[in-house]
Amino acid sequence: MSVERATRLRLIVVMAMLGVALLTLTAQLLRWQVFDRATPLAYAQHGGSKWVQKSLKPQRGLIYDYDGMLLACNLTTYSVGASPNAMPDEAYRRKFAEKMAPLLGQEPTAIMEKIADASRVYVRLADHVPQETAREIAQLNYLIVTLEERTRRVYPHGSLAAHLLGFVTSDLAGYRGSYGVEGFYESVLRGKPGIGVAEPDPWGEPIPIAMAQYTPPEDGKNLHLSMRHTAQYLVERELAQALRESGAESGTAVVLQPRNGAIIAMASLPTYDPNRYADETYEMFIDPAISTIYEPGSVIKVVTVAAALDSGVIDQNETFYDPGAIEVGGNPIYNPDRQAYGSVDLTTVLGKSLNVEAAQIAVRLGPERFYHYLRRFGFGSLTGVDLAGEVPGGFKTPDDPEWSESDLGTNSFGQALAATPLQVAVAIASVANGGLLMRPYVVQAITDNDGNSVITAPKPIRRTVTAQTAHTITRMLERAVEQETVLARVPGYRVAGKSGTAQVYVAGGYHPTATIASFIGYLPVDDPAVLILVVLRRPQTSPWGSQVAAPVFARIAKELMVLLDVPPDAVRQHVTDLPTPTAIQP
Amino acid sequence: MKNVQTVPPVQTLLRPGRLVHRFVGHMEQRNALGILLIVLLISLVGWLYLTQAYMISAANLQIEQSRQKLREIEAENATLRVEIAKWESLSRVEERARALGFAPATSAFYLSVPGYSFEEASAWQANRLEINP
Repeated sequence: MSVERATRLRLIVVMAMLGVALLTLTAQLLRWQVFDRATPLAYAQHGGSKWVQKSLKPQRGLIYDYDGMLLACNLTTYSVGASPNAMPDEAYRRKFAEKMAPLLGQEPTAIMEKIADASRVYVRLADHVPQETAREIAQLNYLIVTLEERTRRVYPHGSLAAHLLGFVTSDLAGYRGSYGVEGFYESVLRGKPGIGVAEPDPWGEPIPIAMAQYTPPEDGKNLHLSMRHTAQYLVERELAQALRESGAESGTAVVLQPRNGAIIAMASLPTYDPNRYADETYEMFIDPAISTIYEPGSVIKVVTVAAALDSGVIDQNETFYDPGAIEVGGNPIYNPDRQAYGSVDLTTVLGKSLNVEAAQIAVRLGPERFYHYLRRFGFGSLTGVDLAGEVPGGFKTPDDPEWSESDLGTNSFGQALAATPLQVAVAIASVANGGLLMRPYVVQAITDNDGNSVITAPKPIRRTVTAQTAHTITRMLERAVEQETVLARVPGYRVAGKSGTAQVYVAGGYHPTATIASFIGYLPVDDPAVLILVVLRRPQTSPWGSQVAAPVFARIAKELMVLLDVPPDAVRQHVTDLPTPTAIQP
Repeated sequence: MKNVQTVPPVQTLLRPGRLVHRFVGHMEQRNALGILLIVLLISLVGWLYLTQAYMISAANLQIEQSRQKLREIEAENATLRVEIAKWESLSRVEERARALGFAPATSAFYLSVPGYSFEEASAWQANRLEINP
């Protein structure tokens, strides 16, 4: 065979091979693209392909107070891990431990213990490592060290308003708000996760510009509370002082604006640090202001008298005869001091907190009307506050088989009746607000990152009593403070208020000495800016609300007036009376 | 003289340059140009593909780096906001104020300013809603 012929043969063979390859390729492409199109398409669409789907986490909404102070936010921290099996020898391990120890705030020996088992693929060295430290660790260029980014909810003010805020737990299901506004507004704060479907890079992460589907995450909305951190701080400070001075086991204070129901401060002690919720017991998370019921005691006399005045059963100028004891439903009722006061008016009934007259008035009202008014004031039902875990409290009514007429007598001065501190505050706030019961609220506005905002509109629930009745009761409560509860006076301001002292119910009856002492009041009387309720449980120095709770009310009220820019009555009256510039022009 | 054709060694025949030379030598000039054009076209397409792939990879890396940077800045921002909030917390401010010799005010004094309407001021106070995220 000549050379030329041999060459041509080889070329033909090569060309034929290339032709066969090309034909095979074309045939396969035709099969995928035309004849058997459905199979690869289904493979790609049902996750059998190499496409990767990644859930894009949204940022949880932030929480601010009324003045824009940051109360809850998200912080990026890192979990630091290492691979002991990739460490060559003991000397390397020791050197590694010595380098990492100061960065992680641990002893080298502690790190050595963690990496002692050379067969382990991964060990966690530390959690919640701040970004700065993580950067320093990354600069060490250890290939055996991993840094996992994590988001953590942080409360910069520690225990301030802990019950009001709640906290965020994390488990396998993700992050979830619990208690307080974190729990109530979970769906608003959480946001919506996005989805990214894309081809993976060599490390399995989706390639950003090769996204087949991209739904961006919607960050959670931000909450702006009606609570003011300054007011909250002073309330917590005064409450802590009250517990120290009175020896009380625990205490609660509620401060709200009667005209719109906005909660300015709400504190309960003892409390906890939401940053370290894992160190606390479950009982500590329950907010006593909305989730723990108590017997309000004589504070309820305000409701009893208001109901009787409003329904026309009694007259505001009527006098009553106080024999010192009365029997209702076979149950004897005495005044708190077991004294008889003879002829008394309604102001004295409220000022001296006479149980006998309260029971007399309730009997004259009759159970139907009395319980009707209790319900109108919101007892036995939720206030509707935007906080997680509220309980409704309750009381027996004639519809209950266990109810007896004696319950009517004891209910009239706040015994055998369960309510939360917030319920009591909201009920009396309706009197301060001219008889209009408002829904209490904590969140003033909800905003998103695009600048949209939804502002909470004050919501009237119902009228409890007429404006005239409310005004009359306010005048009586003002005189009661002036004449009887002197420790609740606030220099420069007219105050309306009522103390309460309730026995503590224990198994089998009432405790012989333990009480729940409280005081509720509002000021300035002519245009109430705030209502304050102070509740002290089991005080040791005195059992009476007028002795231990009233001074706390006065201290809080005095500082709040300065904080909220409410000048004393005389100044306001003087300023209001001043002629306007146009009026004095000739 | 008889023209004797000498056969070159096999190694020389199999040299790629020689193969092409011989192959092209036997082809029409037009065919050779066509093949050359196809080769050039394939090269161009390949070059375009590689360039595009490179640009995509580079852009991808840049996006990822930017995202990482954004995450870091946001995280740093959050850290600073927490720090600021901690420094502004009233317990710290009170502690610092006391250390500097300040004492809590026991009373406030109000001055009456002619023409200043308290009602208006109250209304403003009641209606204001500062939202400063």
